[in-house]
Amino acid sequence: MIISQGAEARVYKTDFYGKPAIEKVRFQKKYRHPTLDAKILSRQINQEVRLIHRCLLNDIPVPCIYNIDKHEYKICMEYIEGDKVKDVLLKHNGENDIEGLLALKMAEVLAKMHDNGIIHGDLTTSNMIMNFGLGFVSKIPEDKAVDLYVFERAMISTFPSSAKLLSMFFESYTKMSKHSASVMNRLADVRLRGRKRDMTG
Amino acid sequence: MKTIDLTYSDQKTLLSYCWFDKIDNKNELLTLISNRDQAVKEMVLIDAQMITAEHTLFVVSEKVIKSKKNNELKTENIYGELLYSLSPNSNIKSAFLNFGLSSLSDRILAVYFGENIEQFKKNLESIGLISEWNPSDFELQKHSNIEKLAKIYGFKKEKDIQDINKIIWTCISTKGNL
Repeated sequence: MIISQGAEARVYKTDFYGKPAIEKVRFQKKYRHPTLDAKILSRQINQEVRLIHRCLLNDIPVPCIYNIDKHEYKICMEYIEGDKVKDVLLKHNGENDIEGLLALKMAEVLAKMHDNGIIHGDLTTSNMIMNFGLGFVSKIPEDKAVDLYVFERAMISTFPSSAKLLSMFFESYTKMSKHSASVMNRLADVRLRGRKRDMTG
Repeated sequence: MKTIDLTYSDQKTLLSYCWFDKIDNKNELLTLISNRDQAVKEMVLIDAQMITAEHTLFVVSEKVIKSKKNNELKTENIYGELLYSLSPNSNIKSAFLNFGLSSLSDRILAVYFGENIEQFKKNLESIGLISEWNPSDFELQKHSNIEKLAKIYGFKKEKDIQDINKIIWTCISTKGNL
């Protein structure tokens, strides 16, 4: 049963020897040369599983992996019951207690990820812990700041009235992350120029 | 004895396995293994203290079957590959030493891939493995060597058992892809 589809992959609900699981199947892109396509898909799978492994070792709540099939570009992982951040916010829009709790939880997870050098790369309210396809490892404040900026933009575009939630989120992130000072300074610069870095000079 | 179907690319393989505790002939078993005796050639004996959940066997078997079908075995056969795949690193010798039967093993897990289950049962009887043990996951965890597993898989031994299992399954399934 298909449960979601994005630009890069389809996600099916399945079963792995009695345990509820999801199967994430990456698409082959017909416009790419097949050899290059295979290389890119394989690298994306490697990147994703490497980050999930790193998260698990550092107590970051992510689904575990049951199986990888690089011939069919599939990752089979644990199915985690629950709602997406987006759905919770839609259901409880304007409820300060729930929004505050959510902001705290998101900040806690993201601070832990950043402190362990894990950059999500595509933080939105729909794929907080699920999708590490664009993630990478970095200790640089710039990369962490861009991660926060992408999240901030995603929140504002989906929930235009989320200013309060975002301020609670940044307040908690600043308290929880060990290197938050340099990241927040950098975030101010990123806000002024956008996520793309100036490549001149 | 339990038997389940493993399916990869629409092809089915039968996995049969059983647990044994209070092993009193481990030295004889070790001799049979080192002599590559016919009775132990078509099975693998795993040190049960290195297995914290039955599901671990399914995760590792799925990986082994896939490697076999894609001609990607790193060891001599699927039984060697099962021991190798349990280990998170690429050192075959250490995988065999850590996960295979040793003189310190008191409980073992015997595994067979294939249709000839009667022969598997006969082979088990011939090497003195007769009375089965049917542990729950709780019992497996109780008897597992968490300290050794923590060292091998790189987690903190104080972790919750659910998190330990998740790390072990991820380490096994992602081996070669990290």
